[in-house]
Amino acid sequence: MNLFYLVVIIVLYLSLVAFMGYRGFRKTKNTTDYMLGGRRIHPFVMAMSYGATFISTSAIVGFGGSAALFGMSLLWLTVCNIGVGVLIAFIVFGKRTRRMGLNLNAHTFPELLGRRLDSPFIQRFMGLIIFLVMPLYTAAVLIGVSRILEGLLGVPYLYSVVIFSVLVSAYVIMGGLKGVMYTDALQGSLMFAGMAVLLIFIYTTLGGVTTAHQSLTELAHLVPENLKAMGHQGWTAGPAAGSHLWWIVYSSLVLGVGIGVLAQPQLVVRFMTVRSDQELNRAVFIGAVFIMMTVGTSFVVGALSNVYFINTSGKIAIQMAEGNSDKIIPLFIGSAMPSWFGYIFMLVILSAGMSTLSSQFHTIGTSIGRDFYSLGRVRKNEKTREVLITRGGIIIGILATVLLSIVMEAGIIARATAIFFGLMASSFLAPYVAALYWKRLTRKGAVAGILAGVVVSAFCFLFLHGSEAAVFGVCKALTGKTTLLGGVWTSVDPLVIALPVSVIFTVLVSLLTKVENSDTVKKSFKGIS
Amino acid sequence: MLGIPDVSVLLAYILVIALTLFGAVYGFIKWNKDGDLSEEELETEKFWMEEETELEEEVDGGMV
Repeated sequence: MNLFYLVVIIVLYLSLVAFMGYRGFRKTKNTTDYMLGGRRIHPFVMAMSYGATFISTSAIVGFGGSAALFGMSLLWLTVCNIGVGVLIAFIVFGKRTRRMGLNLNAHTFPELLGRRLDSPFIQRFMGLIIFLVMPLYTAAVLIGVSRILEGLLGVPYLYSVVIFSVLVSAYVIMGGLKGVMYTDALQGSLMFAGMAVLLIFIYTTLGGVTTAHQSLTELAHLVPENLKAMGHQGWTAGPAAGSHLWWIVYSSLVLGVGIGVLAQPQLVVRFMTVRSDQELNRAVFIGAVFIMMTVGTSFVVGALSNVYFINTSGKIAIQMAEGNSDKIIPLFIGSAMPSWFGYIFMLVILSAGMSTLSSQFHTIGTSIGRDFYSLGRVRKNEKTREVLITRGGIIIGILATVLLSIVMEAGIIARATAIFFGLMASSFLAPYVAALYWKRLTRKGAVAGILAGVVVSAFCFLFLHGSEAAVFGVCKALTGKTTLLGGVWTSVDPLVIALPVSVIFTVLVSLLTKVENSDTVKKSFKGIS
Repeated sequence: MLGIPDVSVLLAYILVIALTLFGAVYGFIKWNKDGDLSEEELETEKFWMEEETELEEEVDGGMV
């Protein structure tokens, strides 16, 4: 890459981002502006921001690399991303969330549930969980961006991690959610354009849609023995039913992330940023096309990179990347695409990473400042302290993220993302859905559902799920075995166990207890049929 | 079909395209619907804005 062009492009890009962040800063006058974009966000900005936040470097680099390893069965995740993450999220949950959020003047996801149930404990506990666990996901995103810079530009990994964190935190701290969403919209547009070029390129290079898929099908005999033993049957075939790989692909990657999106605090809050349901209707159009083009392309390109590498070097993608799936997409871009696309793709990745990171940092800050500390009920002399704590929370979150990015092992991006999405869904999804649709939900029921989700998830991560249990080592220390159960149980995602348990606790405890806050229930459902 | 012999993967490929089209058509048809806020919503919005403005004005320096 030409260093001069590179510097010019990066400076131009960062200037545009800085301009958008500055616009957000200028238009931020009060708390609602800082946390909800003043509830007047344009549907294009909202949809692109939702999409760009949802689709990070984890999706493009991490999951693209997973598709290169496991094959096109990962397209079921794209089905969930569009079907659940856009259609159900916007049409079914989004409209109620927006209206209930307005009725209760909620500014964050924990605040929505806390106020719906008149429970400071719920708001504080959710805020604390988000504050403590989100850096894991944030680090996964940061690793993705930094690996790309390392692969394309040769920037040392550690430098990339620090530079990104500082850049993003600057406009998040100053511009609030408006700054975040304006920059997201710009970054989302770049992502869409870059991924569209990539999709066209891969199919054109490999002889068209059917020929490319056919070539990939014919590589089935090259699947490595260790993957075959796990149930891999080829890159255009699903894993053998009930095998280890089947559980990894469908329970962790597809279900964990596909369902987990519904209870993502940084995404739920976006439904409360628009003025009316009309904006959400329009956002469905933009969001569905955006997700298809970004995630769909990443999975197709990831899987098809095997054909490209076999044709050019006689090795499959994971062999080319020396066993690190996170390096496959950067490697493919660096070797397969024309050099001009390297510049575009670099912007795509910068955009994907920065847009998700900014929202994550914003959510980390509000979870500690607004949800844990003030509950949005500060006295006037404490208002400045709330802002300071929010900004302090962002800085702590950044430091934790940088630290995790340095210590986390290779190939962790997709797993860390799935862990965060799964934990959020296991803990918060059941009470969230019940809060929106069920007037009979009680405070005790919601607390029981959240605690059950957290406890069961933690138990599964520590004692059942192989990859995490091995890292934490608690089970080994207590029982002498890496996991309590063997066989496929070591591959079953904790979400599959924890979410049903959370649902049962939420419903049963609610039915066994009385609704404590009839007036708030009435207020919450005002205008909602 | 499309060079993908496995039905489940083929189904996923087709569903991705079908759901995208559904979302696009839904958004297009509903483009101008649900834009008017009810009286209740307008009142609620006004109430919260007034309350927040009052609070912000009392605080030195405001939010940012």
